[in-house]
Amino acid sequence: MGTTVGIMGAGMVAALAVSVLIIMWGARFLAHRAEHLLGSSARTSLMELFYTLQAWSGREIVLTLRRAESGKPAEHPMGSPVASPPLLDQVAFDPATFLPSHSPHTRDIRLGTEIGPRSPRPLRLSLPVLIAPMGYGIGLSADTKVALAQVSSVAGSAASSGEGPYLPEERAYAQRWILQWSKGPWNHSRAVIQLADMVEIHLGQGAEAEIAVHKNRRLPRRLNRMAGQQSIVIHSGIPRSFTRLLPYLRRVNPQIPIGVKIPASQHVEADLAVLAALSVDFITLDGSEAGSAGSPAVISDHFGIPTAVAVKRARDWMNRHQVRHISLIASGGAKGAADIAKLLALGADAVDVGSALLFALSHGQLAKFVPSFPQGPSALVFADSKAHPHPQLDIGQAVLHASRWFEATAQELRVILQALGLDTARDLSRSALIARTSQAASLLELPTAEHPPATGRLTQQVASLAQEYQRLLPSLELQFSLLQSRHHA
Amino acid sequence: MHKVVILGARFGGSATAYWLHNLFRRRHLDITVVDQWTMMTYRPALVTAAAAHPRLADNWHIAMQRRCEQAGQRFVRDSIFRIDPQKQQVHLASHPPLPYDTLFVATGSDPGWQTIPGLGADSGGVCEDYLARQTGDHVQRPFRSIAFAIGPLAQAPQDRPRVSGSLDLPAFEVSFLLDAWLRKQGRRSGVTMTVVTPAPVPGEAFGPKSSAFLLRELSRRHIDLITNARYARVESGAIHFADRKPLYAEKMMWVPPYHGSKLLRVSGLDDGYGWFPADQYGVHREWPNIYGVGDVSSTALPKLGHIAMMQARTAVHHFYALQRHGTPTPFRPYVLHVVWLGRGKGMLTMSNWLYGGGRELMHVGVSSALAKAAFDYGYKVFSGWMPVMP
Repeated sequence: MGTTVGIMGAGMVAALAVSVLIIMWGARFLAHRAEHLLGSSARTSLMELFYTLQAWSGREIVLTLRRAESGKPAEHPMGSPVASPPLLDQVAFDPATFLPSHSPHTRDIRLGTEIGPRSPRPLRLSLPVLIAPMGYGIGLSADTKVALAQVSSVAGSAASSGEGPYLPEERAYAQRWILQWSKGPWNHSRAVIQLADMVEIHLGQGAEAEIAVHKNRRLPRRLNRMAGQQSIVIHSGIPRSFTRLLPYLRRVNPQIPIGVKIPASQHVEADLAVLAALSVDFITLDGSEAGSAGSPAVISDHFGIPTAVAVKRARDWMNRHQVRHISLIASGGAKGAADIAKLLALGADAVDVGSALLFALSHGQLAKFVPSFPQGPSALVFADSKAHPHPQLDIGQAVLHASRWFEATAQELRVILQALGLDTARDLSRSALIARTSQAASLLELPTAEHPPATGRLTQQVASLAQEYQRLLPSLELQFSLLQSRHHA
Repeated sequence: MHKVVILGARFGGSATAYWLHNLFRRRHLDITVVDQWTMMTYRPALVTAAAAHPRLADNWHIAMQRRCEQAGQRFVRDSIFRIDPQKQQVHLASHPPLPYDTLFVATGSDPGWQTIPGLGADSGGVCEDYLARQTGDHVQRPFRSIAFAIGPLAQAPQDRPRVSGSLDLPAFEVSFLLDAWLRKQGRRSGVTMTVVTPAPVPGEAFGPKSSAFLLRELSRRHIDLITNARYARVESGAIHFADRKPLYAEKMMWVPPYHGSKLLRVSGLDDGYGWFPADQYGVHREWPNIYGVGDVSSTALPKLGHIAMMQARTAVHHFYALQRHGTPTPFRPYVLHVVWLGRGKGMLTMSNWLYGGGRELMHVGVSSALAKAAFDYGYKVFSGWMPVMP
């Protein structure tokens, strides 16, 4: 009996020891895995959620998914967030009351706009929203591109090639198709240019400035075949033949608007002066909030100025120089109708939307990822090689949800315009905006709640005059010194 | 080896590829099929998706690239940009020019959305998978009125016979199917439905018996009908006409106007109105090594898949007869179509009335619907290359 108890006791001690060892080994294994996860590429692991939640509040994601689900304006309880909001969230709308009182607030509100009004065949949109350029293969999968092209047609928007190669299905499905002319090894044939409804020359973008992009991992086989090599380099920046490129594109397709995309910089006015002299039909300003499928963080997180500021300064410059024929496209950071309306009010003619649409596209399909732990949900929409199997996008479902997002956004834009007492999206102007913070007031030259509009306007005018004088002063001094030297000579 | 290029891989192109495969030995022809889609959308089935079943739009894709490649044909996935008949080359968007000895053009007609001011794909449609899916999704939600509008057909003045509408049958089919679905949901009494057609009668290509039946059926189901429509412009919620009051409709579903082919215009191969000028064998009037098959051809009336398949048969048999010094048989068109009526019934029409003949066979019932279902599923199962081809 005593021997049996002894054996059982020894067995229990041994089992306990083995359990402790297993727990220790398990903890070590988990720690090792966690360490590995932290160091692995965020493009292909759950770590991407970390970056997503840095850029997107849970509120915006839930609202976007809600719009995609219902196709109706999204609602939520508990008020609006105020802690460290993005610049566009630091701006509010000024509701119409007795002013403006010229028309009732329940009429048919028009959202249509056109890009490149001077060109023989401007790009006409049913609402001032463009699907942001996201290239096939280097960014999105073919299925995602096809879905976005279908969405663009049913929503009255336009799809863009992005920097990736030509995808025939995308052109076939999109009623309006924008060719992004990049320095990638494709899309430069006359046929492709003539098939386009608009050409955007890509000189750089907010997330990448004007650096070259190298792609050699996880590329679809078709992409490698088209490039004729395993590694793809897409150069950015101003090509040597840039001044000849614009006339060439116009010769090949004289009907359509041709414009340029640049990253929003501190010297945006100087860039505009150069581009206006070249008679482009539109300019896309890609702000520092803009994302991409994979860009160096030192560029995407530390370069450029916010989209809202760039748009405001660009519109000011265009007004000062009476540049009315060039359309301005805002790109980067627009998450929904409120952001779009604010950018339009600051001076944009249309707004690029990218990430919000990818969220809407993938709505209802993320459950596919539950068993495959290490894969992030973006694997559903991003391009990948066949060596890395991932769930396939259900195009039909994706198109339905993204189309509903567009419908909801159009309705929300109408609601905003209705509350502002405006008839069309073109009537949106800076006078509809109020700064919620002193930062927004100073960056966007908007009145704050503390300053009544009249005082605000006068202060703005004086500040603007002083700024202009400061800009003028160096050239006056230069001219004065030149005159003096000539006089002495 | 004789180089044959087929442009388009839908009804006409697929049937052309089938007949070339069927009549010739592999070593005699070097066949290349070009299309921008590797998957063909079987469009006749899209009416069911538009009638409140949006998910069905994605059930009707056929792997045409695989079908052709299994038969030893080459498939090029690209946009067709231009045909150079003098150099005998087809220019593609992202491939080198494709040389040919004989060319079959089966690219279909481009939708002329922009020919009516304010009209666009975002107005609603049924002729492509994404449009049918969108319409099906919209009609699932509550609404009070819907218009099923048919765009005009921009024929050349000299073309005979004359047809006013681009294709009226999908509009009638969706209206009947949706009527049945709404009744099943108990929502029909709150919805006004109107079919708008530029033709003087419904089913203009069928014949008097079928037209009379469609009129009775529309009336019985309280579906309004506007004939001889002359569109002025379209805006959200309203269709404006040149000679009558506007029609207000919360939802719309359009069969777009057909105005020929941009490819033919760019290539200088059209009849001045965007259509392929074909003789009774489908041969181009100026270029004897170019055939026109299906919707793109001025002789394909009405623009039905069945007509395209018959034209493909005629064209390839003509080509075969030339190679073998035989006597070709000219195109003898007749209309064969089943209109879905909902609740498991269909209206089958076989008629040569449009082409001056006096025959019109019409049958309404479950057997007609079964025949259509059998054809649809047969087409899908055999990827367009059925054991018995029209």
